[in-house]
Amino acid sequence: MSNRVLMKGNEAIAEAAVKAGCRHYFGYPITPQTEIAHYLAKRMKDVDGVFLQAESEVAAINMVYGAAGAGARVLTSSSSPGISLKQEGFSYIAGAEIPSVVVNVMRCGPGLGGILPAQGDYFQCVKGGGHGDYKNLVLAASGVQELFSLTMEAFDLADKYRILVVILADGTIGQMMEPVIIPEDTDMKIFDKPWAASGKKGGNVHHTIKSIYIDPVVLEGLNNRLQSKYREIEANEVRVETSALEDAEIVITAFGTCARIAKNVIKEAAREGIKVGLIRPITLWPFPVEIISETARKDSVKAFLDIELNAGQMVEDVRLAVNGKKEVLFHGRTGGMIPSQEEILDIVRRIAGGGF
Amino acid sequence: MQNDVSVLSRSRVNIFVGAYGSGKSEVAVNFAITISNTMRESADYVVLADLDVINPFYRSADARAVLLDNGIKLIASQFVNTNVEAPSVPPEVFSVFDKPGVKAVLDIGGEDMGARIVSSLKDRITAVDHELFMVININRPFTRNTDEIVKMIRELESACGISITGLVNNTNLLEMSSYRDIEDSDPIIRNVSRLTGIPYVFSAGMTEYHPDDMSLQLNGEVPFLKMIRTVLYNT
Repeated sequence: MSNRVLMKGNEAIAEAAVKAGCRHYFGYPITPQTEIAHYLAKRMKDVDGVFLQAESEVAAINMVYGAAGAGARVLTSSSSPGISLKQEGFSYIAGAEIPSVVVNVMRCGPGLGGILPAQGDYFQCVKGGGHGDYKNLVLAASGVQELFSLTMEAFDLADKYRILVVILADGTIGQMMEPVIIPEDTDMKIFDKPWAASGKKGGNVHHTIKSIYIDPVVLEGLNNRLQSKYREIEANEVRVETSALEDAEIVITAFGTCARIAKNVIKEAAREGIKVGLIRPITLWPFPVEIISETARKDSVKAFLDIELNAGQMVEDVRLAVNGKKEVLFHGRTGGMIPSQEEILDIVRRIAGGGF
Repeated sequence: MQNDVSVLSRSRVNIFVGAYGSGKSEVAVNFAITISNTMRESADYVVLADLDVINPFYRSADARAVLLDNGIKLIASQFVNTNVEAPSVPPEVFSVFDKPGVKAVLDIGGEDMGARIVSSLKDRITAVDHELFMVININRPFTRNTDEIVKMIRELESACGISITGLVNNTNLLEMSSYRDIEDSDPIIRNVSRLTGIPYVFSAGMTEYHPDDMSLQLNGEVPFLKMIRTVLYNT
């Protein structure tokens, strides 16, 4: 029998969470991520875990706050409108520094929008969404195997930095099926959580998990500490995939589904003699600023082309990194529409011919 | 090698159930095409009803064009491909049970949740000669081995309210498929068949991964449904 399992992206997320030692799932169903809940409803029984369908997304994120605050590895998942509902919880979790993993399988908005794939929640998940100065660590996969390994890693990163990690996938990545090799023995890191509200257990330290600090000096101290943690993450946790950058004239920046399409465009463009490279951020925050600004300084690079399933969100970070050194063009589709390979190739041809 | 359709076309109503992503829609569409091609000289025709009320993403209604090309009438929820998340049972489905010249292929949504719709049609189904086929891909979660498959059979039968009449081996790895998928899974499906008494009726695979001589060699007495890709999966 094959050691590969044919999995949907959503199923891969769910199984990876179990492999990472997550035994608590709280969620509320919404297309296109409901397979995560469905899978875990079955799978948590096998591993003596907890599956709970909460009464709302707001309830689910606060259950994450409670269970993760007690030191457990916890998962919740939703799609765009549900993630909007969770934003208060995001901010509270950031303030209380609770290691949490949240999956957002994005659908098209705004509002209830539709159920088809989109990447319109980049601003929400990368820039904030909730109130106050905080960051989420945001991971974006472009294939099912990668989604599996990033989900496992998300739990380690959450525990290591006491931060909320968002797995940001578009509907296509969640729904698509690919063969996955599930690691037999996983090198699961166990993190000591001396801060957790897990009971005094005979000791005399009473732990409190909270995000309220009335004393401005203390609260500014917390903010300073959070900011220095964020700088540490920016220095150590950037993940990015690059391809064909050596002699590229045009550099495509894209994540998730768009990066898959871009890879086909690059091959096709090469056949026509147009040198196109790719920078695919895997961590959307921390953003791969350095490789983009390095690439922008190269003489061989004429222009950047950012492709997203939105009206232009990550492109702002690309422009900041390029810092005016080269032109940054944008092509996006919304409403659940996905750009075709030919559509992007046509833009690449026009840029190469100087006519964009 | 031609598809041996004698076993495929014996009943008037043919229902496909199975685990999520087992390939029910692809098998149902290709099954419909195959039996439709045997009915070309007759006034009778095939109706394919997409009754997947669970997953609005990948389903047999996506194959609309290829079905029409093959003279197959499609019944699908009016909401299909409209980006509206309101799957509903199309009322025309009731008519297929009343027309003796019509062969029906019913594509049912995944697992016990999807299969409940069979229970709601139980009286009409049992009044005609019918097959309830379970599509199995052992590379999919929750049907990886004999025990899991038997458990899934019990869940599906309980939701359907009628017995499964045949097992369909659709083991594959999408683009990474090979003839080995059927070869490797064959003993497991045979074992399930022995344990449950449910006949192993046919296996299925994409023509591109199963050259003629291979399918002939591998399947022996179990017919092989050679399929063409009709339902869109990935970008």
